[in-house]
Amino acid sequence: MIRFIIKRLLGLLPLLLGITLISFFVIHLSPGEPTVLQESMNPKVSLEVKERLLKLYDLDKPIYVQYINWLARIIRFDFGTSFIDGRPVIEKIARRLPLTLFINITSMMLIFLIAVPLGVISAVKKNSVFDRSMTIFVFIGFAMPTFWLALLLMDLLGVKLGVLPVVGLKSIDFEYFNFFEKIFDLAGHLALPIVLSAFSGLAGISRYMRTSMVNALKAPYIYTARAKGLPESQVIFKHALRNAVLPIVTILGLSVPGLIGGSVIFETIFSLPGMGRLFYEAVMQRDYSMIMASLVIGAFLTLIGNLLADISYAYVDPRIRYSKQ
Amino acid sequence: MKKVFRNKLVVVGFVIVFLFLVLAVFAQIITKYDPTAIVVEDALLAPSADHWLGTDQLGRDVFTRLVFGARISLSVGFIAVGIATLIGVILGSIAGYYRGWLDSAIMRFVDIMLCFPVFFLLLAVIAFLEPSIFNIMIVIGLTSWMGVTRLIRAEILSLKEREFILAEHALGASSARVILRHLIPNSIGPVLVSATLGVGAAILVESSLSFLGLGVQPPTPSWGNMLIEAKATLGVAWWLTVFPGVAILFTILGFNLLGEGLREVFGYNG
Amino acid sequence: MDRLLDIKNLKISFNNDFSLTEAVNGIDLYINDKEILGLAGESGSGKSVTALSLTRLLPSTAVISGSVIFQGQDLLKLKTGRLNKIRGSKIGYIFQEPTSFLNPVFSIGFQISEALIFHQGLTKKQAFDVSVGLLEQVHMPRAKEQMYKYPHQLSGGMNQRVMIAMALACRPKLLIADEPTTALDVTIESGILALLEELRSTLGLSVLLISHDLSIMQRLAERIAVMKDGLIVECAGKDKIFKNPEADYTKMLLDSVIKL
Repeated sequence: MIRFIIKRLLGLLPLLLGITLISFFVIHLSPGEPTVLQESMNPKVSLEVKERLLKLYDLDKPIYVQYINWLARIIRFDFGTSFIDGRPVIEKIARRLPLTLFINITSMMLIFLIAVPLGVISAVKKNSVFDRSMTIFVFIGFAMPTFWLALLLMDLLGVKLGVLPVVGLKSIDFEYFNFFEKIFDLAGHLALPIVLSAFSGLAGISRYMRTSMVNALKAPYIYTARAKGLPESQVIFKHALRNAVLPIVTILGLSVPGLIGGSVIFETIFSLPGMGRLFYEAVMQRDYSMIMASLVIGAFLTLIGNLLADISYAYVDPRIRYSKQ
Repeated sequence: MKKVFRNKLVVVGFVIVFLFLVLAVFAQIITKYDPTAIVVEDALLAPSADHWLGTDQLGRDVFTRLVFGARISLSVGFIAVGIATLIGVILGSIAGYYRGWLDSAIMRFVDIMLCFPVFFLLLAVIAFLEPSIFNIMIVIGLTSWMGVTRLIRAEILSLKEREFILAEHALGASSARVILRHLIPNSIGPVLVSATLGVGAAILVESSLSFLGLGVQPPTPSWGNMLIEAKATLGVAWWLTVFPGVAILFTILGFNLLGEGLREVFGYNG
Repeated sequence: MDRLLDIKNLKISFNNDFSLTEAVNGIDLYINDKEILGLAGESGSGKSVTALSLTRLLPSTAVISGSVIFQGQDLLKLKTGRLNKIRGSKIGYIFQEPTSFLNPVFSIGFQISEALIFHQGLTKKQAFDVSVGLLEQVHMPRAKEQMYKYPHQLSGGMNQRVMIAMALACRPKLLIADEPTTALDVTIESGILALLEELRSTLGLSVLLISHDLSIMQRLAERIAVMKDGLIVECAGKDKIFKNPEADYTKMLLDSVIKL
């Protein structure tokens, strides 16, 4: 098991290098060097600032030197300072990241808790009315532009019925609330973003769960379980489910980049101070160092998500846990 | 062909897609209004016989803007997928056919690209380009070729083992000839399926980008940027919110149904 | 002699959306107390389907008619709850590929204990001890250690011993063995057959032994039924089948064994 983890970690190194290389390439591919952009955004950029940037990014040196120097700095988590307010980029991201992580982890748990039972019922009652309605739901779920669904729900729950706040993370008078009112206030503000974020992943994962369960129910060991005289509930919820749910762990890991990407949309719509919105603002203001850092960190988070999924999969599946590799 | 149209999913999907295509192609004939003409006194009219789907804040006809938006969305979808498929087919064939270090390099590149949250990558590139329709198409294409590459590679690997390819080699055919004449035509089914599903996905990405103000720029109508205005009038004019979203939903649904149907027809799972 | 199991006019067909595929076309068969009955035939002859149908283990697409009388009850008409009390407790099964018929995500010990806990109401601790005893009975070396292992950690032969221990956990009257050694090496096959023979005499089991391999029949079975295309073409004592077969198909099967 420990060897497995170490092997996985070593496997990440080339990927990490590739991520930085592509991020670097993406920015340098585009026409216009960052200093030029800086000038065009703000004509009053002093020669001094320009000099500083030139030095910071080694823009006068050959491109491979630029990359190596940049890489050497980001290994130490030094992503430079923001073009907008001059504060260290990593500090700004660190302040915004927890909210984004919280929303995504919560919605991932929500996806898991809803998708697994939906998939199981569909598989057990294959071709029933429920299963057929699920198929329709899955098709609609795949086609649904979630930002539009967000608008509809904001309109319905926020504006028309007024049951949920529609923007921001806290109410104006948040500071005066007691502890429970604070929790309640935050939950109200986060309910829609979390539910919508979960909705976007639900269709695919419940579909996957159904297929996985249908296959598990056809497996030979199910005959054995029935031949033992176990009641159908134990056959389904113990023998089949345990096998069917394992691959879902991996699939959840693979859904990380989609969820993180989705944060940009949800956090912008609901004006939430997370990393997604920070990135969006950086793009709008062409904050070069911030964009670069967000790109690398976004990919880095995906890698961590995949790694965690791999490790938990290995842990729950005895075939890997007790393999000799 | 008969077999294809006996599939229910294909038929429903095809009808939806065909309808939107007709709207897009004959936009000028279908509507008497100009999609960008501002008529202040007609602002925010509810749906009526004159304006089927109402008007927006600047008095522009929503139906007209939807129809012209269909042009934008569909062309972005088709061209972006065309680019992605082209890249995918080329890289996938090379990887699958030649194997070796070239294969490892290409597949590692795919792995790395898949680590990036696509939306981050898109926005990062767009940040340094002008957000024109042309750029949007290219950027979406350049960030969505990974799936096709893996697919083509897998197809080619399995096809390569089959007898007629081996026979062709025995007869001394060149590699390029084998790839172009046999391997690619034989993997056309899965590619068609993934491309059809890809158009839906690309349209979703375009509308999201436009909604964030980083895609198609006003006054050119696109379903995504029409919803920006909807957000500003939330609770005032429901028709501004509902119709563009319905258009996006149904277009993507149409392509997805068509794609899933074709998948059933070709009998391939993946 | 008493009949333990009596199959009358058993017909099985499969409902495949558009058509009914016949698998078994009306067979009569009985098994006496403490007897090993061989059911021989090529693959596709309907013998495995027959075995699964006896306790209604076939998928819901199967249409079964006739009667299967076991200890005075018709298994085909029994309510599922009552049937579950017979499955695994009075009738045990072992299958062709032990490794895929064991659940990969549960330990060996758990899978053996399960039936004991369910049928005999033992506690986990009691079931554990009984299971270790069962593994010893099927000659598993270091039985206690094996309890914590998973199927992928054991060989096919070892897994078949686990299957046998599991099938016999509740001391059933009848063991249905569907091609129990087909997936195993020849050297291991002999050990498993010896074990079945030994258990039959120590436990007083009846066995329905299903195989395409007549040499296994010769070694274990007392009576042999030969099946072809869903029908029983001949059923007689072992000596009669091997020395003086009546049906042409039986002769053909025997010829093929002799040639080998």
